Amino acid sequence: MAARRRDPAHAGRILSTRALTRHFGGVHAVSDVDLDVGTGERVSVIGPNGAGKSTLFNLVAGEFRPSGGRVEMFGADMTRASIQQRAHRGLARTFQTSKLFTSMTVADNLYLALCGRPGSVRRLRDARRDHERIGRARGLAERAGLGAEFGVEVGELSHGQQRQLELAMALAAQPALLMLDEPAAGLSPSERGQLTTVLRELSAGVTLLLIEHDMDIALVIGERVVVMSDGAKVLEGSPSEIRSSELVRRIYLGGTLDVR
Amino acid sequence: MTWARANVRILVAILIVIALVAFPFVVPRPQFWVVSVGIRSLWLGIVALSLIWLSRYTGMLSLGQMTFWAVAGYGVAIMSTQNGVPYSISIPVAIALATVVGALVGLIAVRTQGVYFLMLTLATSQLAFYLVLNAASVTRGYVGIGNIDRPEFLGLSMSDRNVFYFVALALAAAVSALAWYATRTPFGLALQGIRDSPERMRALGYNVYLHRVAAFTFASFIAAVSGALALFYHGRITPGAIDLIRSIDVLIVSVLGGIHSLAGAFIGALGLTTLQNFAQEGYIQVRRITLTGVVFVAVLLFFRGGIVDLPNQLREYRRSASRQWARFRSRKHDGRTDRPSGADVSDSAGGADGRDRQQLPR
Ligand SMILES: Nc1ncnc2c1ncn2[C@@H]1O[C@H](COP(=O)(O)OP(=O)(O)OP(=O)(O)O)[C@@H](O)[C@H]1O
Ligand SMILES: [Mg+2]
Repeated sequence: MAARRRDPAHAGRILSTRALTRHFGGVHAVSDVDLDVGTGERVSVIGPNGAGKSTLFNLVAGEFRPSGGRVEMFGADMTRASIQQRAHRGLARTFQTSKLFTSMTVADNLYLALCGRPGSVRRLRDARRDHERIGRARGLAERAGLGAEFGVEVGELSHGQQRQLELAMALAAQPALLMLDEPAAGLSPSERGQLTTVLRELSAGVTLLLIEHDMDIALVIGERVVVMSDGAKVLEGSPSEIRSSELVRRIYLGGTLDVR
Repeated sequence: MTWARANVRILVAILIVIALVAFPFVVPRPQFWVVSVGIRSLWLGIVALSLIWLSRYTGMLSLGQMTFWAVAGYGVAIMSTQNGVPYSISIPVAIALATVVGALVGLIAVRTQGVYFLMLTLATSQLAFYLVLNAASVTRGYVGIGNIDRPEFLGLSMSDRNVFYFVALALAAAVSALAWYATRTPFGLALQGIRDSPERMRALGYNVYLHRVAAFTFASFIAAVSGALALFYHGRITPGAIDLIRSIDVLIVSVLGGIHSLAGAFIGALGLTTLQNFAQEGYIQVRRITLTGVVFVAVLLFFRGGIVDLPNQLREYRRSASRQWARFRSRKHDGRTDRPSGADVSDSAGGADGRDRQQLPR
């Protein structure tokens, strides 16, 4: 693990947020968050329920407009960029609650995931003749353990299988920056093990930003861990630092904390 | 699909083709069956196809399809009857114009959803109605434009009812094939993805808005084809052809035939025209609208998948009836209160097939 660690200053940044803020009415879901992620880095974001982790993701992905602050990604200011523009530049994300095409097959879900970026897709030809992409979709399904379910409607899959598919769809576009929002939520222990393996085996070029409540996964996969609470980034450090942190223990025990 | 089932399907398809081709030669009273029922069902089916296609694959239920039908119909009528433009130009131009109008309406309409989309598209068709009524200098207002000559080509005249029937049949087959093919392309799959989860589609990099506009435009093209065809069917066009009742008729046809299946468009159209024709001829002594309304409500209550889904639904009803019967008997025999068995529970969920068809598009 330690051998894989990169110094963000040397590797070049793929993502930086500056004073990123988002209010919902009176709720400060995210306030003044500065986050730097180096290319190829694996960063876990942890924090109690309502800490603002998903909101931070949605700000980076373009789902929400920030109330203040900036988002720089892929070497450009993307604060105002559309969701699609960010996706085209190499961002892929999963959602905390699965958002899949439930009345379509696993094959069609993955096929669509492969055709999202503009380029060589011929949009008006018969998709069933697109053997090259169908083959790639099949490969993705097999790696996600869904080879036997390739022709099955997604609504019929188990929760765990749907989570696997979410991840496979995010990986389909070979993203430069991958953001996963609680991929292990609702998974059985064995499914968690599988997930950990998949995340470990991500190719080295992929930058990973991971929200995870399961500390075993968050601290094993993350080379660096960011702790959020009440919308703010309260701590940042290596997994071992986080593990021994008194502050983290207090946050997770539910005590209100006064960091500033 | 097993070998046997595939063969049955092919056989059924061949029988349907034979029936459709033989139809004008075997029916009695051809003016009634070929023209009033056959041809009318075909053009009405094409408009309903545009509604069903849009609803089934994008989740957008439009009540505005008669708008584009009207633009195409009036377009041909105004260009050819009043300005002497040959049909070879006026027909494609009018259909193109209606498609462009569809794109413009789509640019606004697809920004809304659900009941707002429904209201907006309905308002569009009402707007078209009042526009043609008031622009009397070109549309001749209430009177409409009449004396439309039927086109001739390759020495055949569409004044011949059999020629007209086969032209209508060929057009219906062509637009159905096109609509079906579109659903198999990456574009069509993307529409279904957007129907299921627009957020996910955006996150994958798709332009959801443009896809919806394109789908709406394509559907208005289909409706426009029907508009041009129906103009020659009636031999005239009046505002009455696009009033509120006609827009509702298109919805009734779709629901009656089966709003989850493209074939439902033509089956529903056949059902409605037959019903209305018999009501008109006095076989059934009810007012036409009342009769249609009753049938519509009956379909909504008991056969939500429409006529296309009738075999499935009947099987479902029979299964649940025999289940009730078995439960009743077992209660009588051993006098115990019965709990649903495992088989019972999975049975009541219905086949994957049946459940899918009963789902309303979101
Ligand atoms: N769309 C929204 N509208 C209003 N308030 C919101 C919205 N999204 C999030 N919030 C609020 O912002 C705060 C942060 O929510 P967020 O979902 O980001 O937390 P989280 O850290 O992801 O929590 P969890 O671990 O439960 O997923 C919460 O108080 C939440 O109620
Ligand atoms: Mg969350």
